[in-house]
Amino acid sequence: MKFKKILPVVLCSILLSGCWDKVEIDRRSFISSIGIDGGKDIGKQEDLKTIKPDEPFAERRIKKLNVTYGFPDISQLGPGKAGTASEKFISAEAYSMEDAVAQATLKSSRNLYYGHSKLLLISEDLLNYTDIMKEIFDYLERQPTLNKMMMVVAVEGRAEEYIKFKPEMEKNVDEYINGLMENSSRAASILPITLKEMLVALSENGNAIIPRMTFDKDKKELKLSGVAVIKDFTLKGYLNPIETADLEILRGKLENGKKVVYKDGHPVDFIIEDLKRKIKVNHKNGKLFVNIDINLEGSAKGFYFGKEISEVKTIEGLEKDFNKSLAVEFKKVVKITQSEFSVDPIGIREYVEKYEPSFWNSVKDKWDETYKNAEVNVTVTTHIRRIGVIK
Amino acid sequence: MKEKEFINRYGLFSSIVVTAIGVGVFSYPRDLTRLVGSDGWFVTLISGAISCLLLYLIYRVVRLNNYNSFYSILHYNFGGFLAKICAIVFVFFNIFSIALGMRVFSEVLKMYLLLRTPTEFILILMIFTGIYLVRSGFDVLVRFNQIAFWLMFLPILFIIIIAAKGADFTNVLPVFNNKPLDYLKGVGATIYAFTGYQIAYLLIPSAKEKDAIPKIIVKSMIFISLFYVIITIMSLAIFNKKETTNLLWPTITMIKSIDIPGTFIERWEGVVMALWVIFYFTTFVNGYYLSSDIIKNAFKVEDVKISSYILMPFIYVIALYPENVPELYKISNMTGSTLSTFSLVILPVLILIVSLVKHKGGCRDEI
Repeated sequence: MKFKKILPVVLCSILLSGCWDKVEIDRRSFISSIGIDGGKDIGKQEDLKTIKPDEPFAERRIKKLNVTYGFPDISQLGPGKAGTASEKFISAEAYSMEDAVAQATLKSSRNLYYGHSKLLLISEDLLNYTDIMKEIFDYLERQPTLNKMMMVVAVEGRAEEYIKFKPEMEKNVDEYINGLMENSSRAASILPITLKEMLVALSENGNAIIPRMTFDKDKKELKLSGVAVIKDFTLKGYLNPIETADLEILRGKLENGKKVVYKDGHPVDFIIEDLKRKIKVNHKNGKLFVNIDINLEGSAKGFYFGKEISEVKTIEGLEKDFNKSLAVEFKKVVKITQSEFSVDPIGIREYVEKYEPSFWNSVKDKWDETYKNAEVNVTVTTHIRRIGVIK
Repeated sequence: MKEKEFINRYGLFSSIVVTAIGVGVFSYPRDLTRLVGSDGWFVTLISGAISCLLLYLIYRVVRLNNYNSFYSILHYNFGGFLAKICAIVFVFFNIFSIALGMRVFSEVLKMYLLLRTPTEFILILMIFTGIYLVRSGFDVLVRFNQIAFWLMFLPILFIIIIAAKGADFTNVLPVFNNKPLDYLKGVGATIYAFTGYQIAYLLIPSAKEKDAIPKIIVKSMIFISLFYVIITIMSLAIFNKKETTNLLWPTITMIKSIDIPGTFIERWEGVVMALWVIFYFTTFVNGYYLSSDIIKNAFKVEDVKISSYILMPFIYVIALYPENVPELYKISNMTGSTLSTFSLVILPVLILIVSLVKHKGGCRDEI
């Protein structure tokens, strides 16, 4: 009987003694943005190859990376206070991403937590170091606690400066940049990409396009300026905002955008409200022929006081002008991706793989070349459905 | 010791389904996509059809032997000594699959939720909870399965519908673009995910409406196959082929990367992990009960309550044996496939042949 009385006590001490994963919320610091820069020793990548895998003290201080973590000042939050807080930062010089976490922990009184991060800024300088980028991407993919839905942006200059930047409209930079990204439904030249989407694209063939951001020091302005094109984990070049908008139309992903033609010396804006894209693929002797059919629908915005565009003929004429100018423009953008980057951001590769499997099997190994030599034809059909409330 | 017949149609269906679908679903799309690319759904259907045949075989065996318990069937057909060996191998197979499943489960839990909680602690807690349910008896277990079925599949359905937003279903193309040999390999790799239906040895003798059993068997197997097909297609549509093969647990990462703008739920892990607990727990507790029941009959142990304690240390030790996650999957693929081939294909066929030839009608007595 005595045993039966003691048993619950014994069990209690076994089952209730441990609370390994207890973290009080006020001991936690929620990292909201991560900026990755090259460190002092970034040029020494070659030297690192001389370190043998079994050498002791591998943790010597090699400062390959400089990682900046931004986190909101939680003391500014609370009932009756504002919904957002300004940011504070920790920077860490490290040889790897995990080392950066360790270094940042040394400087932090709180438990750093990465599950709520919203923004990843990668310095463009770093994008030129293929090996280091591969290390970083592997880390980002392997970490289970990292938020895979954060936005990725490539920045000109040092990412640290961007994270420390105080924007006019918001209290912190990740709110600001995320807001900008959400605006992609209103502005065509923004092509937002999440970490998950980027990793998926990179795993496919090492190519990706990441929105690019520049920092105007005189005006104290951040702005999105097109995309950075990555090929085989290395920065290959840029597309400017107009080309980015075109690319987005070619991808069939555009939600809202604007195009313009000049008529009698006055601009006529065309707001794209709906977009349909069709790809048709033919092949002959290993050469690829691609037909991209783009169907645009939208409204005209503003012309010239006193002049009318309500005539059916005028509208048809405008539509024709748009068809012609846009087709040429799109073809040019395709040409750039073919000859300059030989990266295919439009999705022709996926299309061929999915719908022409037999042809794909024959060109799988020399796809870059096939794409480079492919003949791409773009036809555009524009429909101006609305002209506003005057004639 | 024929139990009274109390399992209704839904009890049978839900018990088979919840036992077969376990931790395998975490990694299911990975191996499949590695082997056959975008044709995973097709291979799943083949595997499902084969499993359905094997399950039907179990039904025939049990019916031929007058709906006796598994050990009685073995004993009557093979005699005492051979029956004991077969029973031990069969129990070992069950213990093995639930123990390794438990390790997978605790690794996943440790990775996403309980970062610092020791694996041993998670295992012990799981086993104790399992014993509690096993001790309550078979009818309680079946009731539990019936409730768990809804707890599992309603939220998953909800999650899948939400995940479909932003998924690119053209990733399923091209179809039938593989060599026939690859399909065979795919079937070999995936058929293990269906194991768990051996619980039918326990369920069928206690089923109320014996005539309806074949229909229910087919229904439950269709359900399981469709579930796996949906999971495979979803992870192909959300990631692509390469990424799906690269991820250790595509299903979990898939749910993690669901993002619904403007909703109040942003990070799903907590909710999803709670769901997976039930997914694994049903597999575990049913397998555990089946093993305990066979041990009870084979070694004339008084009660399931006692035989479940005998098995406890084995589960714990097997679960802790693999050094790391890759070894865990290596062991479960290697040993699991040989053991399951014996237990689920060779053994039922042997029993069927022996009882057809030797006894012409199987055993009538009970032990």
